[in-house]
Amino acid sequence: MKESTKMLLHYITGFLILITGATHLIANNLVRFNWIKDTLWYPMSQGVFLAAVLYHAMNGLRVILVELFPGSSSGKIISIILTVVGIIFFVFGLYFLLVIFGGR
Amino acid sequence: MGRRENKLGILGWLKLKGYSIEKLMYVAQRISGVGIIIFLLAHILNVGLVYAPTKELWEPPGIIGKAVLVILGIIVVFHTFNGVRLILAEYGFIVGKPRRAVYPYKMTSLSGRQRLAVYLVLAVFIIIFYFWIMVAFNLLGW
Amino acid sequence: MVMSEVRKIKFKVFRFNPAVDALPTWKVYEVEVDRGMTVLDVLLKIKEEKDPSLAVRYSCRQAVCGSCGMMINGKQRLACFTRVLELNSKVVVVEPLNNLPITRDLVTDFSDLFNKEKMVKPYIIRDDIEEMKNPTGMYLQKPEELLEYLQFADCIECGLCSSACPTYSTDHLFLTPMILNKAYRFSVDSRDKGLQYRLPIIDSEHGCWRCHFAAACSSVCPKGIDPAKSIQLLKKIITSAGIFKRMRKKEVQLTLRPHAAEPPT
Ligand code: SF4
Ligand code: SF4
Ligand code: FES
Repeated sequence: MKESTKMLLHYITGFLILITGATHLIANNLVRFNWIKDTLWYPMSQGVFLAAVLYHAMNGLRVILVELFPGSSSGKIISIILTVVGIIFFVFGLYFLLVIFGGR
Repeated sequence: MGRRENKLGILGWLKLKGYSIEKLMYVAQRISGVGIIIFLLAHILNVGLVYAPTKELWEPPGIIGKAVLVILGIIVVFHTFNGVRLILAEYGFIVGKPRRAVYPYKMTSLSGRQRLAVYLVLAVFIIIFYFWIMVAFNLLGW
Repeated sequence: MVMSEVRKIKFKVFRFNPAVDALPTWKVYEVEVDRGMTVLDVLLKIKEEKDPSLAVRYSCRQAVCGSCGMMINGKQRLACFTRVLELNSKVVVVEPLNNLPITRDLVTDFSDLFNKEKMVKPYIIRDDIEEMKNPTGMYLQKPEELLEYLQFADCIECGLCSSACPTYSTDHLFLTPMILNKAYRFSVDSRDKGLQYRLPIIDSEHGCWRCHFAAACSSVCPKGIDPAKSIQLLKKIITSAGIFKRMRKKEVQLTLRPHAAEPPT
């Protein structure tokens, strides 16, 4: 993937997090808005939230690490490790999202 | 890295003296980002392993956990608003148009709309910081 | 203003010869400075009157050659463009530029920057080779097309911006603002068609996306170039060119015009 694509995705996921993350915080922390959690959209938006936030986090970490350890092979190693970590957390999170909301 | 190489290393990221406020925002964006990542991964594991099996509402552990959440809320707000500013800047929306470099020089990326955005981010940050402290006092039971 | 506003200022100068010394040393010189003297004047005075072994690189003494960049009181500045008394401090600390290899004393090695500059092809690239070989006319630019790059063409390649960039302090492969500014200056030129050849370098892992708009480069640039601006604009055009396959740039038209005189052979 080209660097400009990666960074464009970084910014797009940033905006997605802004929306879905706000939903997450409002639904979970404000009693008045707890009903959001009962809608069908909530688990879906949380799936998007999980994916977006993990991409954003892993890419952000990659940017920092690539600048700390420059080199042609280290960039690849960093990318591979972070992709694996991201996928593991995504699968893990999705699994528990399904456990929590699977009843509906 | 030898003395000859003269690289500042990470200290170069943190050096603020002589530079503009954007450098401070850059450092803060990095540090807050790393903080949020650490929380995020811990949070996924915690909710997955504690909340999901029992359906018990997850509570941050102890007073330290609550304090962590308070600090986290503040840095998330900062990271979000500064992130929006950075996206606008990096795609060239607020850094100004090319102009003739005539003395006295004026850097449009360090003034005008971009600088206004910096102040807006700081203003929002301070307002939310204030409200957050109120919430925090309730949360910590002071 | 009286002419004889002379003040004694202490100059703390970085001395290091990598071939001989294991560690750098600091030498303090006390110099009488008057109103118009620049840091470069003082360094040359030290060299003439006190210590001929001090190494300084300079050429034009008027901020157009870009040789004399150094850290003055902790900030990247041109020695010939910085008046000592305007610094308003009793002790002036002079060091070589951060993040660039030290050749000796205050002289730093720019070969890394110049090698990277070659990589981004800092010249106008065209595809009408026949016209290039046997010109039949000229490419006239409108004032607004000129304005697109004029500011960024004023760069004197002093390297202050690259030295100030936080990314370059850890990432020695980063292209650095000086080079990215060059790349943008040529890529937006309406005569140029070379962005596609520059993309593989600019859009790489250590290309323009390692800039995070800390804007340290713009806050040190002595010529009003505003490299932080040109880099963000560069990101904009490579995103639209690379992802959306679209260039907003208008091509300049070849204006046929007889040449006034045959070029001398
Ligand atoms: S952009 Fe400014 S600071 Fe950078 S090399 Fe050019 S003149 Fe020097
Ligand atoms: S704006 Fe970009 S290139 Fe300029 S100093 Fe900051 S990180 Fe470096
Ligand atoms: S001596 Fe030429 S820029 Fe200072």
